[in-house]
Amino acid sequence: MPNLERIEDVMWQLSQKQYLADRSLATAIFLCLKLERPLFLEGEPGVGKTAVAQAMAQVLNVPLIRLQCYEGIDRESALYEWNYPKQLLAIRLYESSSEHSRALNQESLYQAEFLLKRPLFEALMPEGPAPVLLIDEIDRSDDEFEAFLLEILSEFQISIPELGTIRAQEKPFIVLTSNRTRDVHDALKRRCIYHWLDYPSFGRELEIVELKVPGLDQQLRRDVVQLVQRLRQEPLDKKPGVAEALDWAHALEALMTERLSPEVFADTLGVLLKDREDINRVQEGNLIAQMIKELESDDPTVS
Amino acid sequence: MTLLSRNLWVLARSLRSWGFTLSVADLKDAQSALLLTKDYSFSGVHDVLEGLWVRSYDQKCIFDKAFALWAREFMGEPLMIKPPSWFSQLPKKIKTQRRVVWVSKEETKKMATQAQETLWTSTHTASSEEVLSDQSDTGMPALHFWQSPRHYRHGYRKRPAQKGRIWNVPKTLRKSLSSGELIKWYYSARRPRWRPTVFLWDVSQSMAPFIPMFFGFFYRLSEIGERVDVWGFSTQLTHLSPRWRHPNPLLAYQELFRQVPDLGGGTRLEHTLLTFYSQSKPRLKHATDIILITDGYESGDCAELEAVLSRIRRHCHRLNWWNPWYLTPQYEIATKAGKILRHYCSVQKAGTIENCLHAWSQLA
Ligand SMILES: Nc1ncnc2c1ncn2[C@@H]1O[C@H](COP(=O)(O)OP(=O)(O)OP(=O)(O)O)[C@@H](O)[C@H]1O
Ligand SMILES: [Mg+2]
Repeated sequence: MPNLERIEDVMWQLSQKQYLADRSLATAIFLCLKLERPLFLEGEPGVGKTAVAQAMAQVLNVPLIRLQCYEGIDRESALYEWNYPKQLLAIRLYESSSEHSRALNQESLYQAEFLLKRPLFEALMPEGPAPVLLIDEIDRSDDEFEAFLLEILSEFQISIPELGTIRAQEKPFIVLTSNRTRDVHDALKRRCIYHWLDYPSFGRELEIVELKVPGLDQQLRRDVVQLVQRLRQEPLDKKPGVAEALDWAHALEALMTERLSPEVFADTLGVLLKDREDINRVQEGNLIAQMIKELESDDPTVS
Repeated sequence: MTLLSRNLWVLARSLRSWGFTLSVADLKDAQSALLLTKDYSFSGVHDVLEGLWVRSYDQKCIFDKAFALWAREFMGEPLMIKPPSWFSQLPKKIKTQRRVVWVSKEETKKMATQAQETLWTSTHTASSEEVLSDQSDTGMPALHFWQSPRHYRHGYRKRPAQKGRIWNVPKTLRKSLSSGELIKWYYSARRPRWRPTVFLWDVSQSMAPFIPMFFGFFYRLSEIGERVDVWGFSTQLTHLSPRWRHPNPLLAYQELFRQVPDLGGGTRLEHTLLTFYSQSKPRLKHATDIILITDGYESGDCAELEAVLSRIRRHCHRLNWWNPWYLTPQYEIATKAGKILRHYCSVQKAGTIENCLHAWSQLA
């Protein structure tokens, strides 16, 4: 376990794992570690919510267990399930075999060997150290599942009727993410530390691109970030996130672009914007040329 | 009580009147967290309090403002040294209005627009001619006590059933184990779920005669527990459903007239649709049905109507247009907005309560 006694330590350790966190995010993570509470992350798509959990797993040097929520996810697919085919098979085998040395009863059928472990079970009863549990896009699940999660997050224990209650030896670090397609219930959030992940500032995004796409020319990188930040101010349906900025930087690197021109911008617009009407809006209004011009006029003052 | 905790308490108390649910436990949490981080600068305190007290994006916006105001009171003085001058000026008990005292009136208004319960309104307001001078109620809606088919959709969840196509293996196994043999199969059936439905209800002048009828319809729907969400619009968009928690329909009806600022105003269909889409886009689910109740008159030009309709259409399950005049003799959809609407929505007649019930049962 690395030394995480101060907020700066958290920031530094995360940056070692290629994740650049703001101080407020680092504070939230620090508090989660100290108070042993789950972290609840909300934000627009592609701002690095999932990446936080991945980086934390690397920092703590433990495995990452991921539970992807979807509409209709239930207790069975999240926690555990009895392996019914295997149980049936065991009954059949028992019936057909001549040796009746082992009495077949309820107990022998509900044993750990017939248990199919699902992510939550694995996170509470891991084989190694307590892992990082990522419950991704919880807003997609339904209310019943939320209530069920509440029970687990507050007690860190599960009761299996046939086996009894199982309690986690060591509390896992839990990250919940949400895209805010609906409001998650207050009772669940009360148990967590809430953090709203915003789009990064210019300087921060520049650092992220520098870290992830080191091959890109410095001037080009600056232009890329500036254009992405500029695009976010437009009234777009789906604004480009950090992920799109990184994709674009990668694309420009692969195309071996040296200088951003309106043509290159127009050709690679599909990497940044994923909505036809957004693309139309940017292309129609002569926005591309205007933005490139803004870049050029800005440049001398910036550098 | 230390000075810091007292100041925190004041902040928490004012936040509480903005809809935060903060208890003593939260205050204690905040203090122990601050002891852990040992960072008493404003940004440090802000980050800690945000993590512990804020529970949604709307709350974050309110919190940021309130914190800035709270911090400004110290004017650069460290948090721990002196009691703030305004602290003693807090009135003992605010009887009529439970509001924050140290927020000015203008700021109060601004923050109120961001409080969750507040109406989402567009920037446009009704012109003076558009607003009916007399907004008294025009007679009571006839409340019908009908039953309607449930608006379901198929869910993934199952429930036990007498017969069916899905085997209930766990139950079969359990039963046969206790009886010793595999004799009887048990079945399950799909458990249906409510389908969320959003009504966008035109309450403008031209639709005024239908207000009592539609009110009765919605009131009954929410009474029998359907998942309906109703937004009224003429020049502004107003979220109406919470107003109907009133157990007495008469009072709820009167409340409607008090709550909708532009009842019987002009119609800004395009503008309200744009507002509705941008406000509730993250909340729209693909399973939702959206029903537009309007006669298709629009006072503006319809430059963006087509684009926003096609967007909404792609975000929902069904987009229907309930038109009270549709299929009546000598009626034709002649307006530009109406033609665009007909292209993107499926049109249904909804002039009487029977029409509404019929259209509703087609959804179910
Ligand atoms: N602060 C950061 N430092 C380093 N990389 C970052 C940072 N923020 C985002 N990224 C990168 O952005 C990419 C997208 O992040 P991620 O997939 O976590 O987004 P997300 O918020 O989970 O999106 P979605 O809501 O669609 O699931 C990742 O490759 C991640 O490495
Ligand atoms: Mg993600």
